[in-house]
Amino acid sequence: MRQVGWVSVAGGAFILLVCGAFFILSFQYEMGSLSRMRPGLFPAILGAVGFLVGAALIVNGVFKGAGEVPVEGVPLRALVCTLAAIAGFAFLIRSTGLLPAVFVSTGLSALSDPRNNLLTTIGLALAAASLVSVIFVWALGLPLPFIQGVF
Amino acid sequence: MDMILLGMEQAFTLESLYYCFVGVSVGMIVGVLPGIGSLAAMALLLPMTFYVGPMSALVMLAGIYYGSEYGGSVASILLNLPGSPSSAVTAIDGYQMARAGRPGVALFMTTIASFIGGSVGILTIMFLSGVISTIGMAFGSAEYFAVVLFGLVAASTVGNDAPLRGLSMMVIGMLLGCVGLDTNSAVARFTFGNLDLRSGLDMVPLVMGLFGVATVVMSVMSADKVTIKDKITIRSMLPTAEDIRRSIMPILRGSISGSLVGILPGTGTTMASFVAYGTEKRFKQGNPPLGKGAIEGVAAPEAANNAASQTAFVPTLTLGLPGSASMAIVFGALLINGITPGPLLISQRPDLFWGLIVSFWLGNLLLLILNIPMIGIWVRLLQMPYRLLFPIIVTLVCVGTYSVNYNPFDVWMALFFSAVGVLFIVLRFQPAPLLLGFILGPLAEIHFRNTMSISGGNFSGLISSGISTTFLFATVAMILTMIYGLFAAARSPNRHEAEKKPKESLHRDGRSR
Repeated sequence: MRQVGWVSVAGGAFILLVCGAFFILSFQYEMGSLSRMRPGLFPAILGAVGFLVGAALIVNGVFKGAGEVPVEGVPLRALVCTLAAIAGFAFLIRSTGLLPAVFVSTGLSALSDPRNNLLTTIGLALAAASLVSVIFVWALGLPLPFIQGVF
Repeated sequence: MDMILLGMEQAFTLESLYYCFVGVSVGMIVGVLPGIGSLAAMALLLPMTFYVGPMSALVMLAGIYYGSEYGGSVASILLNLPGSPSSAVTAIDGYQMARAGRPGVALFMTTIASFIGGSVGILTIMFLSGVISTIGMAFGSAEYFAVVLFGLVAASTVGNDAPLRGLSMMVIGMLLGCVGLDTNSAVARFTFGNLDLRSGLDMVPLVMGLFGVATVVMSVMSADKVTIKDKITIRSMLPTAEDIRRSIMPILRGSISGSLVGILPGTGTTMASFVAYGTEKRFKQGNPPLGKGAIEGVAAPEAANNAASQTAFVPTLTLGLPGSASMAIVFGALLINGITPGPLLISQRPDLFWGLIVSFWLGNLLLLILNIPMIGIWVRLLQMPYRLLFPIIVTLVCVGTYSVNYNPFDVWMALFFSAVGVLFIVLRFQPAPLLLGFILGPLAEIHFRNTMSISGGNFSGLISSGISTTFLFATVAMILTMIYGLFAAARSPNRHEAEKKPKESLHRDGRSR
């Protein structure tokens, strides 16, 4: 069995699917003609081109994939914690205000590294809160309530 | 000459000076810290630019961009860990010099080389801008389309080990650019009924997630267990006469090649530094030779990357063609402030253009002065554990993204793009062409539509003039070269080696092999 470059194949498949989806979706808008282009035409062209490029990438991976460096390790814990941190911020910022949102986002992303203990995390959260207050609220004068409904 | 005076008027205001200082300082710090680059810093500060006006925004973003070229070499030399990709080459000889007990000299020479390189770059801009803006007057839709397409394809494929990947990112970026209201017909495309998407995807969450968070997350493991041993004193930094003699030509050569490389779209400061290093190899080498701690190996790339960082602004400002992701951010910041970069920029807003050029001078001067005493501080900063810096960066991303529209939807978008960004890194897709496609895609569509409409659906409308024909021809040539390269047997082993060397000379924790 020939050595297949799975990274290229996976990548190509991803591109192919996304561009293919755009291609199909663009048909719900009017296409028009080349001389009178309507909204659907350009995305359709792009989607088709992208589909071909994705296919080419797959083919490239299959036929010239030998010697491809395998996928590098993803720091899963860091990724999950960071995504959770951003999500936490998005949830809280409107309802609870700046400080709780900052605490949550800093705290959750600090969890990425197991060496950060509770004390460090709280310290970081305080540092982040002060930094953000200085830069965004004081220096830039943005109307960001610290705690919603309070101040 | 009066243009320069006009520029000085703009650049010497208190506000411009302040933002220049902020920009270069942030740039320097960011350049020093591994794991976060100037692109991420520009992305993080992009929301700020909405409030400060175009001149200050430009001055600050530019300061970050060329400022980081100064700082990037510090970590390269001291830790064998490049602070920014363009400093990877500096690590080769720089770290050797440090191990031989001469880190101070290496640091000092990079500062000088960077200043000279930057200055040559600025002179190049001043010389070329007049030429380019005259040509720019001849630009109609067909020409714009050809140039935009050329720039996009060039940026995605040239000098790229994986041009197919670059191209696919470009297409995806252009598709993302189609999301939202179509300018021509006011039809909401790809919004799935979502009100927030009707105005299109916002650049800020895209950039923050894709470039900022994704790279920072991936660096969590690597940029950490490093220590610095010696103390650096001012005296230890002074070079000998021999050092100076050996550095003169490399600095000049690096400055010139860097200036030229920087103008082309798709090539950036990293390529400039590689080209300069490669050029030096062709010349008679002294003792120690290149690769073993030669000062040429530090001076040339550093001059080149600074020169390139200045001339990179030329196509962005004068043609409206950003050649890299960082330039795309600058381009975006201008658009947000209601300014359309392009051939008319110099004639319509000479104050902005020349003010920026003069601020480049100022910034470089500031950096020269700041860098020398700051070395000690950098050393201490680099010893701050990444695990402490990281959560602060994430929070800054959140607040920064939210501050643009006060809409949590933007933060959710940043989340989405962070995840996508990590996926791209894993699949070895470069995000830069995506950003370029995102920003330039809508422009390409507009000009394509206009050209087709004028020519009545006839493709010959695209080659209606010398300019458009030339660029389209060049674009086709690039694509054909790429296709040929795909079918050709093996890739050139030399280039692979030169590019792999700096990365593979480091273990993940910074020890050298």
